Amino acid sequence: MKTRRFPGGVHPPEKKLTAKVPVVKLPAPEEIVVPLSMHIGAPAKPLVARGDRVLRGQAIAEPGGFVSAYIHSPVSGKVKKIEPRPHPMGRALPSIVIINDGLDECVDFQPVDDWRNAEPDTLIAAIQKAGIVGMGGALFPTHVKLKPPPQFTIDTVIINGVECEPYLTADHRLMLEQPEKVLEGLRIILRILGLKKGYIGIEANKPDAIELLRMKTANADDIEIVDLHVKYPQGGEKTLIYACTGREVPSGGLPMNCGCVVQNVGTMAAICDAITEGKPLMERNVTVTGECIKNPVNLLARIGTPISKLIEAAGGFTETPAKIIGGGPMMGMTQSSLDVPVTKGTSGLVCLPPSLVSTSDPSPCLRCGSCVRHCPFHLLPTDIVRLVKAGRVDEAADLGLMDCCECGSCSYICPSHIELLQWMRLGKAEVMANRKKTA
Amino acid sequence: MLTAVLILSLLGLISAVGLGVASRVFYVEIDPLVEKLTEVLPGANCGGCGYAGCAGFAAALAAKEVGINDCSVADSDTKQTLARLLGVELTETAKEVAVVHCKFDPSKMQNRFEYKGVSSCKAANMLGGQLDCSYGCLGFGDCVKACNFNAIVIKDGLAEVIPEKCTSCGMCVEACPRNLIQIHSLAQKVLVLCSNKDKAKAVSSVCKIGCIACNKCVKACPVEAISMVNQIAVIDDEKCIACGACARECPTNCIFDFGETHYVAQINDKCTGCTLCALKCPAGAISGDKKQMHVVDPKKCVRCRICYDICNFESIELVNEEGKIMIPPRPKKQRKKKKDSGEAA
Repeated sequence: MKTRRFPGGVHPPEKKLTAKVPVVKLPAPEEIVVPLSMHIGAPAKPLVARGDRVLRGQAIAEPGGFVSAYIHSPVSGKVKKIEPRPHPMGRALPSIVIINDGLDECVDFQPVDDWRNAEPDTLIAAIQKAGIVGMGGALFPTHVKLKPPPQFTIDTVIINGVECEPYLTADHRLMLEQPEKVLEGLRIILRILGLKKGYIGIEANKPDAIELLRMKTANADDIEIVDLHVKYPQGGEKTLIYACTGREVPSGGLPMNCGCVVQNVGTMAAICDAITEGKPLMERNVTVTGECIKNPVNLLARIGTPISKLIEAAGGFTETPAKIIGGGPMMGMTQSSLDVPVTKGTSGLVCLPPSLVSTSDPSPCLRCGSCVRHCPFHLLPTDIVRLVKAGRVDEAADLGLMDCCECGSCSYICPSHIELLQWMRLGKAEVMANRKKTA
Repeated sequence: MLTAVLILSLLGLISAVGLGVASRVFYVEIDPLVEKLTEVLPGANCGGCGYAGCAGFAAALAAKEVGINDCSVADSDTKQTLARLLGVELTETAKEVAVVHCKFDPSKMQNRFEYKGVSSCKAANMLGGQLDCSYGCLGFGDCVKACNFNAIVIKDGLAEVIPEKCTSCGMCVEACPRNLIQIHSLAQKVLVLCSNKDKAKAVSSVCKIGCIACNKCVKACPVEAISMVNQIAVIDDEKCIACGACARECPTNCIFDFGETHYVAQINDKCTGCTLCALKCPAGAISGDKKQMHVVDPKKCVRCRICYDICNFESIELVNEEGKIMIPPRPKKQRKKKKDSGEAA
């Protein structure tokens, strides 16, 4: 069977150690730490104060701006305090600390009645109230994505079941164990956007998921399953759009510029829960894996569970890991503390032994052009980085610096171990700062 | 042969006339003063003055838009020459230097993680920084790279300014992603070398010499020069009298006193009991009845010298810890003179 693909990209070893391990529910810990920044945009504003009793599913923080999201309590218990705590993004950020009373008393969940005939605005409001954000890792508030400005017409919905990052299997297991929820979620999105057909893109290394979803949609003509070539970053928004539709997102644009909306399968399941059961986003699938983990597993963990509990549930370490990465090994952030909580975007924890972590210092560029050949966006990382190093970020921006999706293919492939991605990020941050200054 | 010579001569003549006319019509007047000034200026083109290089500054100088002292790089000889060229009198200003407001103990500062990547403070700061303290100096030397005068070095992972080389151009201030560098007068000897804006507990858990915003220095300051801004003590350079009382009071020693040693006040038998010193003492260290000899409690004395400056009767002397007189009482005449200059300043 012919699979669809995009130009460039790399092929790291897949190492899906947990592809056949069913998801296990992780008991809620005694102390839950819910960061107020679990989405792109303004941090949420707390709705509770120290000493308040909260119920499971109660909104504990409201959006702090247009691009922001609600946050709900994953357990019932008492608010201990609101203070800066270690955050997966590096520095300590304000978080709500809740002491779990173990009762799991829930608020009354209110599903949307008969969503098939409900108004799109009602559905979007319900999604916003449920605090749903893009669960692939980008954490963009979903309700904002579903309300494109009027000048854009959306004609295609693509669901991202690619999971191109090595090691991770959280989405794969979700598709195998809860295919109905994924399909239902997609149909809700189709209803909201008023479309007839949606696509689910899955990499060809998950034949069981493809087969299962094909079977479930055999008699339906509103959903098509697309086989995708196994390649990184196939799951990037823009590469996925290109592979599925052949369209290119224009430079500096968003998927909506070419009529597309891309959503993660995890988000679909969350939307299904929010609409049909009224359940807000309080837990997610997390893959705990890597060569240092005794029994790699897929866990259903409450948001706010410290990652030390997840590692404990996976049998602990076999040797001291050199790196613990939150998310996938290609785009994830290395964590500096085991007290960091699971957030809405934690798709996995990858614990790597020293033998797999590169510690070599960069050597001079060989001008081999590997980074250029593997860049999925046809950029020239070598030239761009040279300009960034020299402080000429404006010229780097002219070469397309801002179109970099930070997939890290260039850093992965570079034979000189040059930190191309970090330089690109540095350059992007500087360009953004300059733009803010002049604006 | 003759035609060729004639044609060439004619061409030469036409060109000569053309050039001659052009040199009159399109003559650009150059101020010889600007040229001279440019020659005299340091030529570092550091941009510290805000103009495009030294030539731009020279033009502004000739147009009297700026003063000589706006060039922070020029030394006093250069400034004298500039003043002579401009025909103005040079007013001396205090030399300014950049100060890094972080001075942790490198042997005690823990790292949260081992940083391996682009060797730049900006890059490390994007990841939250490798230090336990999220405000401290990262030590990758973005300021060193920005400095045109080799006035900053990294020592034990901390940036350090060499005051002799520093020209206070301000390039390092902009380069530091953590905003740790500020420009102070070289005469400012008492400095708060911490920038941690966290609360006391969070500060002391990462650094033993961090500002915990205890307000002790605010209370200790006899001239109300210290205020607490964002949980950091900030000294107002204008008000500070460099008595060092805050530095002695600071429980974490994050206030550094680089000035001369300070001594405790002591009252000798010339005291007339005028009560002036007791009234003015900010620490309440002087006691005594009216028209009786007063006594200084050495434990309470903050060594601010206020009493020493105001005593009219040559009765306050400054002693060291063993009671040895280090600075004798201020003679009456000299005191008056000092008072005049004090008011002028």
